[in-house]
Amino acid sequence: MRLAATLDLLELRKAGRTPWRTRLVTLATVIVTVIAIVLILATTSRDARAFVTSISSNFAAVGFWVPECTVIFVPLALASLGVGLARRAGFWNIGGEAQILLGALGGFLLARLLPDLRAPFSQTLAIVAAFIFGACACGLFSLLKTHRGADEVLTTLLSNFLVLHFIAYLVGGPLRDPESKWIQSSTLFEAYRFARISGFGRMNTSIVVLIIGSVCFLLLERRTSWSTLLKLNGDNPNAVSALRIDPNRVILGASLVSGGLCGMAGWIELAGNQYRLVQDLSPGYGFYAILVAVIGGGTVLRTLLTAVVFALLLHTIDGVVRDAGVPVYMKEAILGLGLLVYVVNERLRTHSFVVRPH
Amino acid sequence: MILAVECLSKTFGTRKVLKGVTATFREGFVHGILGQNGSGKTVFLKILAGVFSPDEGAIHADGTKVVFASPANAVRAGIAYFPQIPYLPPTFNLDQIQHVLRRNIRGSGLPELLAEHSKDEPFRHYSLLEKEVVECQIALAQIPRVLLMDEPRFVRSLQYQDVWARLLAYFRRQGITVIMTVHDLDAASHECDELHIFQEGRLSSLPKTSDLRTRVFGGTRSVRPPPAISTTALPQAPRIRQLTINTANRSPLQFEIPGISCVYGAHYPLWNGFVEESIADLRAKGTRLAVIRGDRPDRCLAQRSSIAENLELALHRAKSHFGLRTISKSTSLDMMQTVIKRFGISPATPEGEVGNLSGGNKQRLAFARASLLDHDCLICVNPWRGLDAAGIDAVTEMMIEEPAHGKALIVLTDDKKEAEAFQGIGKTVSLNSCGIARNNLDPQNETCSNA
Repeated sequence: MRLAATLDLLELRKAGRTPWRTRLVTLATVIVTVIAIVLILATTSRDARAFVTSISSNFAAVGFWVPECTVIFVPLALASLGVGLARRAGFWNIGGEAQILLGALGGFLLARLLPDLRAPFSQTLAIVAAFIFGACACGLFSLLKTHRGADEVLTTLLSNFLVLHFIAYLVGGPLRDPESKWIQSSTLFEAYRFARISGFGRMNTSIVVLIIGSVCFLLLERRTSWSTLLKLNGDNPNAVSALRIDPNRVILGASLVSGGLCGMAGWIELAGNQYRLVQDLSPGYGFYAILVAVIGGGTVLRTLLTAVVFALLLHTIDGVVRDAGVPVYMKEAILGLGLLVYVVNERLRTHSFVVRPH
Repeated sequence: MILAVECLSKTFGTRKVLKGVTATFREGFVHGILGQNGSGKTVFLKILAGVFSPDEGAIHADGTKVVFASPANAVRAGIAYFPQIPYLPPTFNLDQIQHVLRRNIRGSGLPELLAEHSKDEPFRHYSLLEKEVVECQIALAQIPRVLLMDEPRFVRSLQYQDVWARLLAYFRRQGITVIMTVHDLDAASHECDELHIFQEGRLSSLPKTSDLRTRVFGGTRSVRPPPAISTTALPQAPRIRQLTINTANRSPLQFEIPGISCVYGAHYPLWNGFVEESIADLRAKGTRLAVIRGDRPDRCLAQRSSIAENLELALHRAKSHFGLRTISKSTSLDMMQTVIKRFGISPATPEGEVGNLSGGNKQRLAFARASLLDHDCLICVNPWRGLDAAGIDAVTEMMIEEPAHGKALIVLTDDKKEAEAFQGIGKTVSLNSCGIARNNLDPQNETCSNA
């Protein structure tokens, strides 16, 4: 109780940018980079030259790394736009992984229900189905937050594990491909797949979905007051109430769109890349999307730019993991450290802790 | 303790708030600090309390130079701070605060000023003024030699007038130096032994003379008669003609649209409940309300957003369809700048963050936003609280024009001066200690039996 009381007397106050804080942030960045390098070198038997060889070979041919990065970029950017939108409205959507899996499931079930549908309709309907599945998965938790006061960070985070096990059950049971020895569903029908662009490796037409979505988001941001509404709601719901707008409805709307976009990201990963439903369909896009959204700061262009950087980073790390024998868990550890540095940096740049005056 | 400051300066970003403040505060006196909204009163008190550190200058306590790295240092030096907005954690209660005080700060027990709540009742059930009284108790429990009070509002309430009189006597008896910011010039001249005024970032002493009001701002704190209402000349016919407020255990209160009404109440927590219930009741009936809470100036504003963002949505809500902008960015910026100028918000930059504004300027911004919002009824709860004379003139001008636009103005106040000012121009009722409405402004003398 005493600790809680003392903590409650602390307050995060705005402060001017002072040199010692800037120096502290620089120092923290250097320390984290050193820790990351030490961790990588400690967990692999290879020397530093193996890393250089791996990175240079991964970026040797434009025809290889551009399509590979795009395959990562498209679902990651969609999920990041979704998570960023909800965050702007004051809703932390940590359940991106669950919504990605459910979105993929939605599209996949539609394909199973309507196997004879022709190409443009099949893809459009599948995207809509994925959006609805993802939106429902996220909307449910926003209702729990607004009507029952359940903390969305906890509920959406736990939903990831719930859905992961549910998908594991489905692909191991009712949806399992009887002809395969792997635990996976049957292959997706041709009409539902995103066609690959010839001469560009694994790059596929799903990028069109991202372009259309981004343009819509940019128009919403620039030409309407929705963006301001979300920001004010995230800042102070009472400010929105004062304008006779229900803040709970704003949160519900934002969470539905957020979940929907994550669902679409899941479908794009399934129909554009993997073609079958598996338990580890997403290599962690739902979690990386949180990082991208935080760094993207809720604006469309900055989020897309951050997603490009992350796609390049993930492509590089994947190469290093594959070629230099770095454990796959190091990827998460380094990205987590990076986020920590960024968040602390942002806070320290503008705020300082002071004891509440009593 | 004789507290003296020498050449104190403080700059936020590019804005120089304090420009070399030099003053001496004599021991055992009650010092009143006057000044316009945003003139630097709060920043000055926060520097004395160790919340902010000055860019330049020094603080001397009994002739010795002191440096407060944190508020805890100031408390150890015998300086207690009463904040403008109470910081009390909503889930805490008096018992827990007492526990923290005894453990962490050289304090005595909490003095008994408040009897309405039990000691284990959480602070979220307290009204704003009750929280202020608790803050005052906490400050006194630290056995201060200097007490810094930033716009104490409970001292103006009928309910706590006795408490305030007792406190003033206690300060003088104990030789406690009190430095408090104040907007009410009459109260300042009665209660304070010495007056100081902030002008352009500098503090100068002010002689206590009878023409204080005209010497300081030339403000009137009175309401001129509203413009005559011609029903045929209204820009649009009122959507509804009458408003009724139904609150628990009280007879319904009816208000005409267009018209001006004022409800005065001074009994806590009855008044607190009445305000909340009235607003909720009118909202539930679908009345298009614009509400300004002078008693909670920053609760309804988005603090980390800009002034423009806070105003933009109100503007577009009135002028747009489905959130699509039907007025250009440049037009909306012009409209925003017009209202910023009209209400005298300082600094007048639309890109400025609301959290950086002073309390009075936040109050002005809430009025500016309400003026852009399309509504049937404007409810102002303690509209003058925290405003200087120029601010009062600007917001009153807007308020009394409401009926001319076919709208209703309802002023809910626990400040008798506000109620008296609006008494002459509209329907005024007061709630007595049982919540029964009366057509006079002296609810204290009414008993429930003769109701």
